[in-house]
Amino acid sequence: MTRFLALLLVAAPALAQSIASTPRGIVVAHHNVVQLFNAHGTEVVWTTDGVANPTSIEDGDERVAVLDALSNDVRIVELATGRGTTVRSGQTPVAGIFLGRTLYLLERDARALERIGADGARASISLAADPAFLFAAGGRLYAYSRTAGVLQEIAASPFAVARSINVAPFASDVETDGKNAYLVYPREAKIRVVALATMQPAGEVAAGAVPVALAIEPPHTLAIADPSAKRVWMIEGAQSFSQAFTRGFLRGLLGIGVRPRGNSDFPTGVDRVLIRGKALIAYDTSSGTLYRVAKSKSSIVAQNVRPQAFTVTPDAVWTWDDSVRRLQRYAN
Amino acid sequence: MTVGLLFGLPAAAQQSRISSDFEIQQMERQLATSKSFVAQLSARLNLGDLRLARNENALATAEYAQALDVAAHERAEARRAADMTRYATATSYAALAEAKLSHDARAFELAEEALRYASDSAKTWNLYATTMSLLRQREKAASAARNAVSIATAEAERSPAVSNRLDLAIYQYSLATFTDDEALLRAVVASLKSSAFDALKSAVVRNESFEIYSTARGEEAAYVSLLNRAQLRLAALYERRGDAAAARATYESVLAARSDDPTALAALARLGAADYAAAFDANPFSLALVRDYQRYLDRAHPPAPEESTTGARVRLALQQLHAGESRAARATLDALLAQFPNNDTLKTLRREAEERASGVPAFLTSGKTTAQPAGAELRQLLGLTLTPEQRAALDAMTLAGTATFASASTSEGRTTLDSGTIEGVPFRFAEPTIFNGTFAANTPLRLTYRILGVTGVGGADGLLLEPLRLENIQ
Repeated sequence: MTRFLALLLVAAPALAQSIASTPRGIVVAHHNVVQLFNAHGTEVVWTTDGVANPTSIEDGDERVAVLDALSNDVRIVELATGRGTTVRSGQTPVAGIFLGRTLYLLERDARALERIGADGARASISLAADPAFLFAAGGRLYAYSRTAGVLQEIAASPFAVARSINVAPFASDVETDGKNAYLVYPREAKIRVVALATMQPAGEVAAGAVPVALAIEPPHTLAIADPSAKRVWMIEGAQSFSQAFTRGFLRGLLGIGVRPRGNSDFPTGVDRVLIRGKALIAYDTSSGTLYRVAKSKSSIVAQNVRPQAFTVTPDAVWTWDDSVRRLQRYAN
Repeated sequence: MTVGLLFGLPAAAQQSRISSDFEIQQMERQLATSKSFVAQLSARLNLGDLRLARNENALATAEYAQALDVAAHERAEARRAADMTRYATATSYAALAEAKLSHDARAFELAEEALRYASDSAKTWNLYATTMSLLRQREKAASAARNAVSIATAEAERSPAVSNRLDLAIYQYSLATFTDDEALLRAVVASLKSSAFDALKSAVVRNESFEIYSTARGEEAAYVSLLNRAQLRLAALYERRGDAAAARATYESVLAARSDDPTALAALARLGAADYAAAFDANPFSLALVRDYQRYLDRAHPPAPEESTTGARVRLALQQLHAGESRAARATLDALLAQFPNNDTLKTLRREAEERASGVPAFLTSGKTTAQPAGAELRQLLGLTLTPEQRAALDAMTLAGTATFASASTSEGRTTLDSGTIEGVPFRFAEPTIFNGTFAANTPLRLTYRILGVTGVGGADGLLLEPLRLENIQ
């Protein structure tokens, strides 16, 4: 076994890029700028200052926030005009959500959720250790703290933790269908469900070999990326998930249930999955390969794509090629 | 236990050996004989760190690039084999290698990727913490180290085996390093010295383990390295808050286990508790040590080293530079560079010697034909490569200053003189010169002279002078 002892050395920055779809077009953050492309991706609508290492983009109806989780900078930009402001955040802003014009920022290593109002007013609340995932449902925010194993419900007004529940730690992904939170556990090969209405566990189910990420296809189908099995598993419940799990007879055990899509196999292990409309897109981080799934058949959309350099809309997959600084559209 | 016993060599032979030579040799052997991922990766990372400590930056970068190749290959293989635990480990190390290569964004991306698969692994968090520290993200490093300690504490409570205790101590050391937590470091050191590790301590003695690595394979190596690093870190914290006695005692404790530890030796010299010779022998190329020694030379005048070790030769070069003997310093450094062509400390000093040599003393550009140059100006001249115009200006100048002759031979009212110092700078005449009058040795005299060139005087750089007049000072 190799044991590692820390040595302190020095380093200097390199480049990252990030891309997101918004109601006004495709936003790309790269090389310290943020650009809005029109809906066809053919023209730059505006360009504004960005951040050094754009690690993700959070989109709202009117604004976007470009997060630099490495340098702790956040660039908030008005979609209509491109006007923006850069703010320093707490340590490691990994996720954000807009409720109206207010940005809620999850600062993982600060163990905090920060609220940044439209007028720039800021407030912060403490969370459990390693808050890694943030989602919204029913006008409330939910933060899952990964090493602590805590799911916390946060009310927007007053801005405070409303309820908490201990769940298993170390989930690799958390998604919601609006009623339930679905937590993915790679090591245990399980999906656990928490009913948000009651903030109580609503069951668990075995899922593949090493499930890493999931996406939800309305009304209640789970697409689970399993890089070990090189497969996206589709789990379909006969009833709503909460009903199924609560009653303990979920037919979503793999291979059971009515699935409009079957499981999909891939030549390499996919570890991310996205669903927009009828499009199901899977991604292999290790090789940077994007796949499209149609009728359970997978095909390559693009290769050598960086993890944050693609986004999916109902009609197309968009990628950013940083070597030629070009936005590429692939129709679904 | 001392290095001498471990090497089984006489003390004199050890002195010519740089402290990290042995570890480098061991890692190169490991590279040649063991082809496993862990062996190859740890060897490359250790070689990079060892080279870096010697300021051999190009070699260090090459090793880190090789480490990245090893990790990238392992990532791909693990993915093909659908082994996600292996993939996460390889990804963590790839992130670390990228960070060492200063590829910040990619390092961060990979570190985050590893956490997706292995956020339950204390080792992954510890690697993440180290990667963040390399990216100068100390708070991120501390946060990650807290997670590692939290997970490892639970594991050690579940199963208090030595391996789990050792892992926990490693992660606590990381956390203490990133938070400057003196109390935690003391606890780590006390834990390592406690009876809980008796079996490991016996094995260390039995196997005469002493090597210090940043990436340690096996429990003995990890134990020895961790105890060394934790004590050094603790001593540095003592030193920072002004507790010199505690710092000295802790550095000495490090030396009790390894007598040629370069960090401890340099610290003790800095604290005035030891001379610089051993520190330079342990690592002649530490730029921090070099700068510290240069400050020391401002207030002390140590004799020229008599030994011929690499450390002694570097000290000699520094003394020569300090004395303004740029030409001699360049010669000393050139000889060292021929032996260590990849060393950036030597290159830096050589450049500095060159820069000093290019400085023209003010009297030479005054436009006048007479001057009384100060000692510093004459020293400056010693290192200067003159342009034809400067040479012509110097030839036309008549200079004067206070000279002291080393010896004097008087006969029939005439004195024969040969060499001495002028304004503290060594000089000699082209041949012994007879002056009318009686002049004593070791007595300040007023000498009017021309400068013919630079020459060797008693083994040091000096001026070759043409005397014009000599007078007693009234």
